[in-house]
Amino acid sequence: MSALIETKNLHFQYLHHQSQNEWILNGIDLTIRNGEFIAILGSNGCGKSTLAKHFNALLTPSDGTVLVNGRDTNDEKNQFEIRKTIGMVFQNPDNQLISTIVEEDVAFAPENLGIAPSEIRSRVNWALDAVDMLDYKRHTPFKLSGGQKQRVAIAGILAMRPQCIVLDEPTSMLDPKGRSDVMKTICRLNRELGITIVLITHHMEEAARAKRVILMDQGQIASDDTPENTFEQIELLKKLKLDVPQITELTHRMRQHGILIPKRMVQIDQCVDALAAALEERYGHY
Amino acid sequence: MAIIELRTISFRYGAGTPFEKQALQNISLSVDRGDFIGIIGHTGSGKSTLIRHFNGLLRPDSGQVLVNNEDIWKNPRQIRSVRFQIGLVFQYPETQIFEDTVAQDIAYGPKNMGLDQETINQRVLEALHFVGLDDSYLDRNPFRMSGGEMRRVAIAGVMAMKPAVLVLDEPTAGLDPEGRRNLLKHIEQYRRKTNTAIIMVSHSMEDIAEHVQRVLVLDKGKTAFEGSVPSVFAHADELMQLGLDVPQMTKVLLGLKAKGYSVDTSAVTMDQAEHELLRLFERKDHE
Ligand SMILES: Nc1ncnc2c1ncn2[C@@H]1O[C@H](COP(=O)(O)OP(=O)(O)O)[C@@H](O)[C@H]1O
Ligand SMILES: Nc1ncnc2c1ncn2[C@@H]1O[C@H](COP(=O)(O)OP(=O)(O)O)[C@@H](O)[C@H]1O
Ligand SMILES: [Mg+2]
Ligand SMILES: [Mg+2]
Repeated sequence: MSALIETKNLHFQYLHHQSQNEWILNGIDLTIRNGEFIAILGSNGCGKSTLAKHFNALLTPSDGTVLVNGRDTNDEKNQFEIRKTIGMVFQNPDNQLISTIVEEDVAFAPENLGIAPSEIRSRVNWALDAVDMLDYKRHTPFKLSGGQKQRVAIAGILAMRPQCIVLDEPTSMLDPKGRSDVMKTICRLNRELGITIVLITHHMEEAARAKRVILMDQGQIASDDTPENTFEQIELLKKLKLDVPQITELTHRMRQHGILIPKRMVQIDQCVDALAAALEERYGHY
Repeated sequence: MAIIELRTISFRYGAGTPFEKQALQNISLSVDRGDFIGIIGHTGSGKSTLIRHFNGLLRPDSGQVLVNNEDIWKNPRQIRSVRFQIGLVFQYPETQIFEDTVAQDIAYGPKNMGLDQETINQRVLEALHFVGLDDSYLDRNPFRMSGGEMRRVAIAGVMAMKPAVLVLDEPTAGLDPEGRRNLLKHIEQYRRKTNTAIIMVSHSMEDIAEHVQRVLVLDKGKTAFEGSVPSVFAHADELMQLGLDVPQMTKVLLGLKAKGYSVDTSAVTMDQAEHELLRLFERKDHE
């Protein structure tokens, strides 16, 4: 797989910063390849959003480089192309929708890109369908639930046909159904359309659905591994003010009681299957 | 005796306009000292509207809100005093911080109550400690603190009024896991020490399972369920249909049950699930 985003020795400081740290981002070396599904975890203020904004040239490095498809984000000539390639979705669904009709909102970016109207129409339909919101095409966004609004925001990004979507805590203001619908959508976009996903979240269970988890600590990368391996590092997670998914913790406790179930468990159905297998092992088929 | 009692309250926004919206319908709830009550419901189910009734920010169209057995709307001019008894912490309360120091910000409420300076100082300190911050924070600028710290300062500002009931609208949204754990731990300690009733709106079924005693489930402005945590989460299918969920531990047990194991699915916390799973593994040992 080719490198989609590459940061090399990335350092960053805000112009009017108030923090004691010399750097908000302190030497980030990271390669994100096409088609990956990456979660980024870290305590409040560790630099996740700042890093995310470097991926599509909303911010540019104070030192070091960020390349998107080999193009330097520092070069203004590249920025238009880069923002088309890497789309961003933010936390608050109410701040991202501007039109009074859903389909107009989704058409906004492709219109700005100067795409022909017939092509825009087909892209809008395709994008709304991909997030399961086609039925709401002619609705007003203001009456949608938070989760629906977030999916429309994702459709608006999709309509640019990006290679990658970066989502900055997209579910933290949503109710359980909204969260689960948005997560399903994200997973499907990655699996079925091959869109690269970078998901910033405080929910360990959401991170567990990624293929690769990056832990950040004060502007640096503290760990970069599979979710299964990441969530075995309980000491590190606690030190970084994070947590283990409840499923991981439960299986941990079960093993301490001498119940033989595998390590590195992060998903509910994995855990149920493992518990059933352990019961069966002990007592034969139920 | 209940501190707050809602008696079949109903409320419409924009009554008599084309935008009329029935937001609450016949909600009843009784809250005693020291209770810890959770409110859950999908977006738009009426949670924020409901909590605005507790301290008289909204007036019900019908039904009554009783505080210490008295209808708070009996004398509408005294509604302000209710705001000191029932402390409301809005969503993202850190956005409502505006003083230059933490001490001033926490003192704002007690000052409005007309307390003397000595009492105010004492309450500021007490509240600061309740949210787990030490005296070194007093002179700090709240705008130069982390999101989690700012949120705690905002909550301390309400605690400093010593309300009989503290109502929190999604207090942990957006906090990192440790910030979330700490905040909930401090709220729980505060409840135990002061016997203040806590009412918490949350989208985290795990937090509800871990901390509250009773749950009120809202759906389209009506009470869908009300009762103990296990009794409410026993309605897994219905809750999903209402756009809600059950705690992950409950899901594990439900998964085993679906595979034919005779497991008690009323466990909602990690400790309870661990206990129930051990029982499942061990009981068969003894057969
Ligand atoms: N526009 C800004 N100006 C100055 N400092 C900022 C700005 N945005 C964020 N910061 C600071 O940079 C640090 C990292 O912030 P952020 O990237 O938002 O963290 P996270 O997303 O991990 O919570 C924090 O200390 C924050 O206060
Ligand atoms: N100021 C208002 N004017 C009109 N309708 C409102 C207002 N505030 C809320 N509503 C409507 O009342 C219902 C309940 O809203 P709310 O209490 O905010 O729900 P929740 O807090 O559970 O998300 C929703 O349908 C919402 O659109
Ligand atoms: Mg952020
Ligand atoms: Mg609300």
